[in-house]
Amino acid sequence: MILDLKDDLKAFREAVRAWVHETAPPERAHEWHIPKGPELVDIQRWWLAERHKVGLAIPNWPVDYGGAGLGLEHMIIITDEFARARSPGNDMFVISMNHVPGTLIPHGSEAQKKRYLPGVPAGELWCQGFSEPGAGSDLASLKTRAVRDGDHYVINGQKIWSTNSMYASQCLLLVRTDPTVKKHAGISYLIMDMNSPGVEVRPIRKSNGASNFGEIFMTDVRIPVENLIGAENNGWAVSQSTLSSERGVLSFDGAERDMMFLTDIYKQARSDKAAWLDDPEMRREFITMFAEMQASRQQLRALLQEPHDGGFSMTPSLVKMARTTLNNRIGAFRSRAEGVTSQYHDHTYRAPMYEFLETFGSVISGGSNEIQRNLIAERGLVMPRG
Amino acid sequence: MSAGPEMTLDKAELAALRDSIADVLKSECDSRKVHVWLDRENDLGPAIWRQAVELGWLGLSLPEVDGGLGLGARGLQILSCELGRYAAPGGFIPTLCVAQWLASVADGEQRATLLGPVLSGEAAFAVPVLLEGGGTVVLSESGNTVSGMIDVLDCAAGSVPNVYAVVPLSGAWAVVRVDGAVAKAEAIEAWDMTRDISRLECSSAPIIARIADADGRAGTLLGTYLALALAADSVGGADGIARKTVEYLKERVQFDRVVATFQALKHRAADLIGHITTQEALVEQAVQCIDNGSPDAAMWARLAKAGASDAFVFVATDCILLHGGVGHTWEYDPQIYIKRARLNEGLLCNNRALRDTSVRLLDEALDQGRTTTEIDW
Repeated sequence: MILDLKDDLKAFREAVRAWVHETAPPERAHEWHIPKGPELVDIQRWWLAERHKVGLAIPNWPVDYGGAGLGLEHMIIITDEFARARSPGNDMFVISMNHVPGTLIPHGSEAQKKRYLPGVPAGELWCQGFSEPGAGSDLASLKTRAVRDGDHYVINGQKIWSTNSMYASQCLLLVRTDPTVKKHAGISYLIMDMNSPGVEVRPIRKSNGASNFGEIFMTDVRIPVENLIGAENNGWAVSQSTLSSERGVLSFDGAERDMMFLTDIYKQARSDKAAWLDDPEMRREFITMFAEMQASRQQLRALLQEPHDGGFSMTPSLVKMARTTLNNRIGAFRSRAEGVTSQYHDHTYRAPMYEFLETFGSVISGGSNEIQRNLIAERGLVMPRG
Repeated sequence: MSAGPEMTLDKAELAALRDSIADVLKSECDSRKVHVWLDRENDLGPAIWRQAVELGWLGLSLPEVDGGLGLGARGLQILSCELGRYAAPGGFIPTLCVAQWLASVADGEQRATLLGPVLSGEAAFAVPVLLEGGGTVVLSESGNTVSGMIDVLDCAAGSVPNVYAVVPLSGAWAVVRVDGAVAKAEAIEAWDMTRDISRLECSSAPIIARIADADGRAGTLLGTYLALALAADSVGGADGIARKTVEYLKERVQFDRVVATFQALKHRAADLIGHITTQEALVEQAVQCIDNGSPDAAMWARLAKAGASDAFVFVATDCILLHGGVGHTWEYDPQIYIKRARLNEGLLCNNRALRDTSVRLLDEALDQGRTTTEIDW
């Protein structure tokens, strides 16, 4: 068993490496790199199940909730080895794996933890109903209304930018339970079954034609009161736990994969004798981005080592800005490097123009970079509010 | 070639070391003292050097066998970063880097002759302003002497009695003593007045130490140390002026409010911190590689120098602008930092050529089956 080796980090790493190469051989990477949508959900669900067999689905979760209680150094090894092996990704289950335990473990009832946590490694797909058309950066101004009716809440409203909501069976939902008080004080946090009557999901088509998030329309949806997480009207505080579970580890996996990918692109360019390699300015631009990508991996490691003492840290905001703007630059660089043929429709994995358009989403999601700048300036540099 | 540090400190110990250096500089090298030094109306340069000698800063990185503390690249990074933050005058970068380099490439006798006097404050080192890329020169060697002319940093080094310059020969390096006669340094007036640049003229100057370097590896290592120190100095300098500028924005009142409340300025300030922290992380990558003896240290140190000095120029420029009119006066601090930034940008090698070298080193690594991106944990 791989987990039995956890006290010997070197042996642990080798065991993870051997297992991933055997279970998801890099030669088969096209099988999980090309598909999108429901097909990708199936592949990632298979991959989750394979990992679960050997204890690598939720190894960082507490033992009480089915995990192995592994710490950071193990998670970094696992993430690193998975990325290096170009293994299937995890992005369809990102809310399930991170936000669900991040919210339920500190704030959920015992019944909720028992009911929902085991579903995660079994492949239950969750989405998050936070943003609304009128509540983006100003999330607390959300208007989706929940009115108590006996032992249910009745929900009416609309959510947007809900990642993978079209494939989800459960939703972490923020609603307004008291419209008469200050905006942060009247919010509650519910678990919504996506198969409830009155729930309708419409995928949003992005500029690159792909759809990885949707709008959720809720019309008289009835949610049992027992699905309330934390106290009524205390949802804002609970939501901060959900959002802080985005910190670090999530981004770490992305950064590891992005570094591998950038290295792969360069190797490919060398073997193709790509024209841009003859252009000194393009080479310098590439190596500058290569260096910054490595810098962001170092920053993430520093972030993961920061104490979670409740104090404000600028690092999550700085890493988020650095990574998302760098990926946008890399997308732009690749389109320019390839020239006009980058504008022909290309269905290969992370094709330059597809990827370039894709990178705009991350600049906004998870707190737009403008919001991150406000946080850095006001909380980090203590520049006063106007 | 680099064996890695003998001594490693944990995070708290490193932070304490950094604080102890910063505390000294904060009181002994504050903005006012630096301004007065620019007019050479105090003795800040020699005073800081004496402090550094007394506090053992010059030996932080050197191996224990040479009388140092054995902190390697980590020590070089921390010290250079703090000196940069306070725009400390003096030839610390050349002295620290050459000493570190000699500890790797020189024989026992050469090390005894040259490194001991550095630690006791009797000797300092100068290096060519350009070591790589275009514009480098080679001095001619004849018998046991060298002749020729080369621009070097920093021959003044406080009031240190003996300054030794490292100069390139064909396939080797020579250490000569700047004696004012056969090795004569004539000061060049430069914009950055916190460091000294001289034109060194050698006329059959005796070679004190000769480092053979047929394959160029010794020169590459010297460049690696210089790149790291310049990168760390740049990160410290950029952070120093950015923080001062933010404090200024909190004081300056216009339209009946402190200008720090304007979102346009907040976002610019946040972007400065973003530029700095990215380069800080890149310097961290270089430090780890040097101290681990990674074959990719030469590449990462050069990328760090290129990135950090570019960022320093960007940050210092924006700090002038964020100060408004006073930003480009002699009286305020940004002028000191922009000049240090521009000098750092040019020292060792221009950043375009450093990136060209880095691409070549990446290609070599890939040919040898390394990605250069492995991080230990």
